[in-house]
Amino acid sequence: MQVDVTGFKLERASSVSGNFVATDNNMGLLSDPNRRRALISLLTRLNAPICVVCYMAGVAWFMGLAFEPFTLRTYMSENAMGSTMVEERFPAGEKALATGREFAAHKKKAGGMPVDWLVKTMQSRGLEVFTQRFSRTLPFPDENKERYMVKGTNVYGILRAPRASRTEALVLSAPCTPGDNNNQAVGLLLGLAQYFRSQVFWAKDIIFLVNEHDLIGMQAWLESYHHTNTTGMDWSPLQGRGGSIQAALSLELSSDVITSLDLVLEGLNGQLPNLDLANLFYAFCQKIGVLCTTQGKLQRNDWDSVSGYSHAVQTMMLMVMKQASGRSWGDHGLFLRYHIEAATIKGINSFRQYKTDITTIGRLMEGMYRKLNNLLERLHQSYFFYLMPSLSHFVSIAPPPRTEDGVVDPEQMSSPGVLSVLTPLVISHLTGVALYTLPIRFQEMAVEHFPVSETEAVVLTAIAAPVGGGTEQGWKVLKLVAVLYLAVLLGCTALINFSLGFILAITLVPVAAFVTPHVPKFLSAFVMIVLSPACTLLFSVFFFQELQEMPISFLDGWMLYLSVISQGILDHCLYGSLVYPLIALLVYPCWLIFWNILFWKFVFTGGNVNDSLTHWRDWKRRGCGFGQSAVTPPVLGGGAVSWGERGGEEGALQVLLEQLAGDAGLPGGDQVEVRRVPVLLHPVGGQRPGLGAQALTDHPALHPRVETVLQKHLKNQGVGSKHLNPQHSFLPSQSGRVLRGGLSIACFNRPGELQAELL
Amino acid sequence: MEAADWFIPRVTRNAEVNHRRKRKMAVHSCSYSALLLIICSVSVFIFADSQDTTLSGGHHAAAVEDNPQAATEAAAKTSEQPAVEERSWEATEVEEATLHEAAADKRDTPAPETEAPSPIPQPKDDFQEELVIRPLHSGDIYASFQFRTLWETDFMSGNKVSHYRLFPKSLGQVISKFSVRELHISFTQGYWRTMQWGQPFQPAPPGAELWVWFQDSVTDVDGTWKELTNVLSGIFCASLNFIDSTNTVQPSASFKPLGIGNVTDHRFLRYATLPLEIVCTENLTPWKKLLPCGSKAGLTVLLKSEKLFHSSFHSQAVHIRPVCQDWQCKTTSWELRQTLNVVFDLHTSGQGKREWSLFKMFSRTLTEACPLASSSKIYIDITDDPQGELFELSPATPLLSQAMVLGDRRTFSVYDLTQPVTFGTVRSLNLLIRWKSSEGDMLRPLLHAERYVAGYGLQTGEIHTLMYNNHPYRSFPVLLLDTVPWYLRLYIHTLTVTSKGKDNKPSYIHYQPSKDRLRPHLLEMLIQLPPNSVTEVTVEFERALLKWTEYTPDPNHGFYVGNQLSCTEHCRHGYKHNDGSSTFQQLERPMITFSISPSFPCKEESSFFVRVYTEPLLVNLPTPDFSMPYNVICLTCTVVAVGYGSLYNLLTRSFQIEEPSPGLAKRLANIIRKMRGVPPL
Repeated sequence: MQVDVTGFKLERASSVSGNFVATDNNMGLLSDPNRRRALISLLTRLNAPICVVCYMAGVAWFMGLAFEPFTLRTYMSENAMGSTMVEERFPAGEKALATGREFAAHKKKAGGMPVDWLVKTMQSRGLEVFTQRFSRTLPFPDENKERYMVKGTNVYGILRAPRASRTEALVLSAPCTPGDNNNQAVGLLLGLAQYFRSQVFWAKDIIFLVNEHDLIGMQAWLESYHHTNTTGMDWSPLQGRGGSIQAALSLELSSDVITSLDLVLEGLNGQLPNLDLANLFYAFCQKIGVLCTTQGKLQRNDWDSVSGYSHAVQTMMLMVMKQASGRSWGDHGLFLRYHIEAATIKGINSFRQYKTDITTIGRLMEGMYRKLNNLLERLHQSYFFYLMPSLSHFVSIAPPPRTEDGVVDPEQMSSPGVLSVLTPLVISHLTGVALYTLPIRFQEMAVEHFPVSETEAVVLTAIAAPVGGGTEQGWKVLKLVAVLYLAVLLGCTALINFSLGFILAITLVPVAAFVTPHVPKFLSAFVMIVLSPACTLLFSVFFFQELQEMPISFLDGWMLYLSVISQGILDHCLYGSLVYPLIALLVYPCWLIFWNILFWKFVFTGGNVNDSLTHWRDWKRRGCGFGQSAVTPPVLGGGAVSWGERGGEEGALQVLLEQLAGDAGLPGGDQVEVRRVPVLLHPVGGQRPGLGAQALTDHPALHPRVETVLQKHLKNQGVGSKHLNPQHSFLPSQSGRVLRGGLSIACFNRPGELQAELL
Repeated sequence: MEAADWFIPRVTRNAEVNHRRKRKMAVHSCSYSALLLIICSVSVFIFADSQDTTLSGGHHAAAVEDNPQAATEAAAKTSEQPAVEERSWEATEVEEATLHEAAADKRDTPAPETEAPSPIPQPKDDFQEELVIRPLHSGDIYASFQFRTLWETDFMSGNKVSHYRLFPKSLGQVISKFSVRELHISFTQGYWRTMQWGQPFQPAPPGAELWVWFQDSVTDVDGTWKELTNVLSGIFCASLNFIDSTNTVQPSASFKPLGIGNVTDHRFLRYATLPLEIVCTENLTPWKKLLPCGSKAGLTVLLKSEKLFHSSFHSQAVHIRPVCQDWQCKTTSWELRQTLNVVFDLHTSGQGKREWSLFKMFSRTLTEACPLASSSKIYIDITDDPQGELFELSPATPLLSQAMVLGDRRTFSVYDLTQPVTFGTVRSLNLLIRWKSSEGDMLRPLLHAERYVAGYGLQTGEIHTLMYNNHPYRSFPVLLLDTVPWYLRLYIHTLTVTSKGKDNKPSYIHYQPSKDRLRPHLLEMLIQLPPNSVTEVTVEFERALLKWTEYTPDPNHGFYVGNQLSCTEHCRHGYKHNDGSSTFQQLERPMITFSISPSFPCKEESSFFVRVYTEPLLVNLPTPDFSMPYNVICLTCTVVAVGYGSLYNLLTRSFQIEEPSPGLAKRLANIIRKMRGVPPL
């Protein structure tokens, strides 16, 4: 059936194309210069609307992803976990709670990790127990967690699987947090260890890990396990290992009963575990009857109602924000770097009526571990890039949608421009480097001075702008570079961390689209600052709080903003999160370049393009074919002067005008936006009332400096103004737009002579 | 020189056989027999010497511990001869006599008189079985079965051996067909937990391990090896046929023949491991069938797979080697040892109770010995508890025995199954071992090793091997054997060996680089482990991108890198051998003391040879996504390429009307015009 359809379609297609070819009269659509020009001019004319439409469509599409009919239901892809049935029989919830209380007592007594007690308890449960000490001095004091010099001990016990050769392992971890938190998690971990120990079906070693100082301890343990040292932490080497870790779960429980379990997936640098892990959790929650949430949001069934949809959008946007932050939202997040699928399961005790006891959670964990134990391969079947509007639905992120596509102007670089844009590029990157290094260098005044990007931006651009000044061509080249830079940057970011790419694109693409030196300065500057990375972060903080239904006042928000920045830097130093260097070293310089374009100062440097013009025109006269000339067309303002009969003239005139204005040293504000105004060839005899030849020099609006230069040029050409062909008159612009200093000129009827219209 | 005379006809016969088979050996045969002659004379000469070092109180079967070389010396490859001095003997003439009598008695009973008259002397064979049980500190229990068949015959002679009694025919045929000198094969499921269990009696790596010494008459060793692995694969129902050149190595120093004959030319040695091999009942059944009593009587009734595979560790092995029948080595016999080691877990099999019985372990009790066995004994290792403080045994036994096992003097309680008294009034023996206390700490074994892959990502990595020497003041020389598959490209320049933070220069390195898809990396190093230290060997590697057909069906599982093997001579000082004054019955020594695993007899008994295996590694290689998305990507890329290509073509191609080519005259005219600078026609 399908084959038939395709065959039919193919036939149709071929016949259509045959017709097309026949009617097309052997000319490609783009090879015909007229059509090509038409297409290009259409694109250039419609550039702004196209950009806006693309942008809007991108955002709308993204928001549409949360709409349930557009999403896929989650399903288990992994065979080994899907079809096999496991029984959950964990009985010892009460005992686990008692162990948890005992742990709490010992924790209080020891004032930290009760190492000896844990070692003894784990040993009595038949595990091979090892400890690991670690220490780390933070680059600056962490005010949120009130720590600076961190010293701690991890305790882990390995359940050796019978008749297995230590090649694979699973990890169950629970953080030992100060205060009364997480005691139940450790209790349950020990209870599960005891129960698992008496089972025979384990094919993978199971590592029960209690880590101190949450992520720092976990980082130390993982680095030691894999013997890497990416962040300069001190740790003692591990004595026991279980082979390559296949999956890990981190457990956080702080109450004896819970109302729901929350699944946290977002890891370091926005990495996510394989979707099958989420599916597994969801499947067992369904099976055992535990309420489960993601981002703390239950899923709703009324997807067709507005509130249902907005709920899904909220959930998804929360995930986007969390992922974009690039930090690890649970202990699991650090596993992902080592290609270990991991998630954090958080017990939440709210005011709901329906409570779940710890035995049930134990059964859930048992079921998940038994299924993970059945794995033959690493989890790889399902998606790694996804967003979840609810726990049962997901959006697969295939090639990420691009919103900035319409922005790239059909311009081309001119060779003199490349060097001139180097300076602003280098300066903005140096600024980025400064932003990256300074906070850590001057740590004593660190936290206060972090949000300097705005002021810094303004100040530094003031330095950068004069240096980066240049010709009209210059800013276009620079903008082209910046736009390409941004496109590459966003493309790469979106591949690694889609959410971050999305948020950056939302804010930076408008900047990229509208910035030219000719837009109103102060309004644009304001808009640019609002859309700067730093402000984006500030808005994100408020937005995130809003999504979590915990709105905060501006002052609190500001404090939170500062702490978020310091957390970001800490995440980078401690765990190797890449968001901070990305923003500081790449995004911020990119934004600075646009800022630079906005404050572009025109400095005209004279050059002689006349020779090449003459040469080019000469060749054209001799009838060389389209597109095959060895002589490169003169390049103007980033666009090649087209070869068309009219276009060529036009382009040549533009170049001449540019040249004239440049020689005259006209300031930027007086420069003419040439490309927007069609330059016309003037018909012989002048059908319209024109200006006399003398009028060129007499024109009141002609800038005296341009006039001088023109005269000089005419003299150089060997034709005085008297020799101007009287048949040719100077016409006003047909566009009717007369800008400041507008003037029409026309001249020269000889080969190599040009007519120009200065508006 | 008697022995030498006796050898000559055999050797020539042997040569004839080969001659007939291969028609290539004619030239070699005489030099070959001469060589053997020299070797034999040397050994006879040395036998006389070694009587001084003979230990009293050996087993009644004569066995030769033949390890000609210290690992160190072997590595240096300089001195082959002096090492031969270090043979030790465990034989007494009195015992010899009884053995012969016993064997003769036994043979009378089945006595099929159909034996064709042959020039070979009446084959004498003997079968012994034993079970050694060691209660472990962790509360687990370790049971080690040993079945030993000795047969005084000559597979290499011209006469085809066709009458088999106790020796399994399938193995006999393998020996004669492939000219095997020694064969050692083990199948293991699980990894020996040295930290919890101490040293095993017979170390074995997870998966399958096979090493074979061929007779030096074999010309095409690789071909024979290939055939042999395939045949063994059939015999043991295992996937030994996956052994090919990519996982076979010829270690230069790590292996020595364990039987008589000190050919140490490693061209005749092949070694391979299959870490992925999973051992289960289908391997156990053929293994049991090799036993004379099958699983019908004697200790073998305990070998029920439903219990054996409900354990923490399971290892079964077959070792074949030629040994001397008596101390003069007038006659050689073939020794077949079948061993089975199993560890039962306290928590899963034992329900957490520190109480073990034969029934609890094997769900069977013993009622009789194997009628074909000349000896059938159970030994309980009570070294840790000579006074019966830690655990109690019931029924109690008055028989005690002491022996050196792996450098330790160990004490055993002995139950002789050939004595009806052992079974008591209920006619069944159910040994009960009950622990009185329940503490179990981690051991600090003198020597252990671990290995892991460091780093992350799929491009490079680093193999770390840690070797712990926990001895307070002794350093050990360790010979490291590392075989790494070709798809991990070792950067051998990154090889570092550090002990206590200092560079530890190996005194001997043998490295054979890999060839893609042909052979693995082979690295042998002799390293001195300083006392009380951790020695770390690291080497970086790059993960190769395989061809897509080379991936296994489960590529995301990862690829196994075989375990590493380190062998060491392991001597303990401060121990005095008091043979005369001992109150124990010297006769009762378990067979494990006659190392099956490569034992290394020093002059002192306190010295021994140990092999330590590390765990195998599981390494992920860069793997394409073979699943549906991969296909989708391929498909969409194709569609996009085709669609984009044609569209692009349509948009940009320029067509030109080609002028009909001008005639010759016109072209000439054009050339002239061109030269004149006039536009062409």
